[in-house]
This record gives sequence, structure tokens and C-alpha cells, in this order.
Amino acid sequence: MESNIGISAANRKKVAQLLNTLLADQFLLYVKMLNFHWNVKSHHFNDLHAFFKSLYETQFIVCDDIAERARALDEAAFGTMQEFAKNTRLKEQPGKKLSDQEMIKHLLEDHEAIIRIIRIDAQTCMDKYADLGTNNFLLNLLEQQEKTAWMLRASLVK
Amino acid sequence: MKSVTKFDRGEDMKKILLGSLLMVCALQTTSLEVPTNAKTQKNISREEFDIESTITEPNIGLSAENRAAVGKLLNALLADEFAVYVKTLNYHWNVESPQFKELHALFKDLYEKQFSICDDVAERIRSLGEVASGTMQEFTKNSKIKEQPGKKLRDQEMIKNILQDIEAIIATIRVDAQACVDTYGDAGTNNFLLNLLEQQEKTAWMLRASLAK
Repeated sequence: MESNIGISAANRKKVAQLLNTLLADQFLLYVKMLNFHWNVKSHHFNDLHAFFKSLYETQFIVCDDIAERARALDEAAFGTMQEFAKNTRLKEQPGKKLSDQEMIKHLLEDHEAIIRIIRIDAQTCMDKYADLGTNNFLLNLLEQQEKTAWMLRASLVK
Repeated sequence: MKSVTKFDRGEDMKKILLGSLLMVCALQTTSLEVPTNAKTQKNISREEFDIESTITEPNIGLSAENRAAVGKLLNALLADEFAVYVKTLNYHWNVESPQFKELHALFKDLYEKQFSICDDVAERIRSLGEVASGTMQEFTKNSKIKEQPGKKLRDQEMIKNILQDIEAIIATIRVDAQACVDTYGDAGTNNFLLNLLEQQEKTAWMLRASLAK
């Protein structure tokens, strides 16, 4: 059954595209957090191992929520590594050994990049596609990720 | 007030003397330990010393070559398990069925299990002193599990796909577990893999039982 929620099919499709691209970014960041949870070496190993775990758990919920928002618009959610890798705007560093502080810096920079993207996307949902629901959804996400970014920033040694 | 101050100073002096004694002891211990761990290195900072120390290399009765070989085998397995993890997520999100609620929950149950498997395999790799793959590039490159991007599947096809993937993984683990013990003398990973084998055989049965005949 076609969705009948006051947003045109064309607009639902556009918003879902924007959400799926964001999902690709968030999923890549999720995998990066897993990576650092597994591979961190530090005098504060136990702290960081746990910190990265709390981050990937939060990040998983972010991914799940975005995918389910795309489904709520009656569109398919990306669900393959091929789609994630092709659509993400973030970079991975396979095989590179990073110090604990470099790991935190990478996560912070990725968060900040995503925050800048969401800020524009939320506006687009409102102005171009008249999708209030997704606008609200994205603003909640923005606020949440700004908070995580602060915590990462505060963990960096000056 | 003055006498109190004097008394405190005396106590402070005692503390300083005691502190100096402890420091001398500490220095003696350090000077005994440093040469054994960093024989050829001089004037090394504490930071460098800890990171480069031979203590960070596992000394668990497995050669570095064998640990690297088992690490490689486990990283290939991790790539497969991660691909199945992403597939179960995909189906959790995209399933459409008269049994939606049931299947949405079944796939959630599966991806949660699959996630702990990935975490366990990665941590087993780290226990061997090897680096765990942690990028989608590595996972995609090393996995033999096929994805079907953009393809719409029926509920029964989804279950069938996961079943076939898990059966393929079971077959791999069976060979890998044997290789760990026969070729690399790694009893720990052999045991780890056999527990995983048994767990995934159980999951495969449940998936098989969910397929309509």
C-alpha cells in the first residue's frame, strides 16, 4: 500500500535519498568506532575501550533510527556495504596505525562533518520538500551529535 | 601557632626523607628492569619505552608467524561475519511481510547475535597480538559473502539467503578450526572456533525451520 501522509511520492523519494546518504556516513563512522574499540593501544586502554564502546552503541541507534525513518517514508533503506561505501562522504584509513589521540581526532572531525551536513539537510527537508517530520528528526540528531562532538573535543589534549 | 608550624616542618622533613628512600628503591628496581627489556636502546622516554617494549608482544607459546597466520584467517572470518551482520540489519529494516513484526524481531535477534560474534572474533585477533580489520574496505575485500544492493526480496528469500550464508561460514570454520590445531598449534583459537561452529549450526537449524516447505 502506498503511503498517504501528505508528502508527494517524489518528495518522499528525495528525502529518502538524502537520508540514505546520511546513513552511509553514519554507518562508516559506526565501523570506525568499532575499529578503534578493538585496536586502541593506550595507557588509558580500559577507559578508551569503554568510551569507544559507548560511542558505537549510540552510533548504532543513530543508524537504526535513520534507516527506520527512510522506511517510515515508505522508501527502502540502504543495507549493503557496497551502498554504504559508495555513498559515504567520510574517509577510512585501512591498515593505518593510529595513536589514541589521533583516533579521537578522527572521530571528532567525522562528527563535525556530519553535523555540517545535517544542518543543511534539515533546512532542505523543510524548504524544498515540506517534510516537517524529517526536519524535526534531523534537528534532534544534530543536537545529539553536537553533544558527542563536545565530549570528543574535551578528550583531546591541548 | 609558631610551635605548631615547627612541628609540621619536622613531620614534612620525615616525609621527604621517607619519600627519598622510596625513590631510591624505585630507581634501583627500574635500573634492574630497563636493560632486560630495552637492551640496545639508550635515553628512551617512558612513553616510547612502554609502547616499544617487548612486553607488548604476546609470549604465549605461539610463534609470531603462526599468530600472524591465524590472525589472517580470523580477519577473513570477521569479514564474512560482518557481511552477514549487515545483511541481517538490512532485512530487519527492509522486510515486508504479513508476519512483519515477527520477522523484524527475528532479524533483530539475528543481528544482535551476529554483532557479538564479530566483536568476539575481533577480540580474539587482538588477543593474538594482531590487528583486527575495522574498515568497510577491508570487510568488502576479504568477504566471500555476496550482497544484493538495491534488490527487493520476499521474506522467505531473506531467510534463505541468511541460511545459505551461515552454512557457508560453518563450512569455512570447520576447515579453519582444523588448520589452527594441525598447522599452527593454536589450541585456543581451535576451541574458540568450535564453540562458534556449534552456535552457528544452531542458528542455521532455526533458519531452516523457518522456511516454508
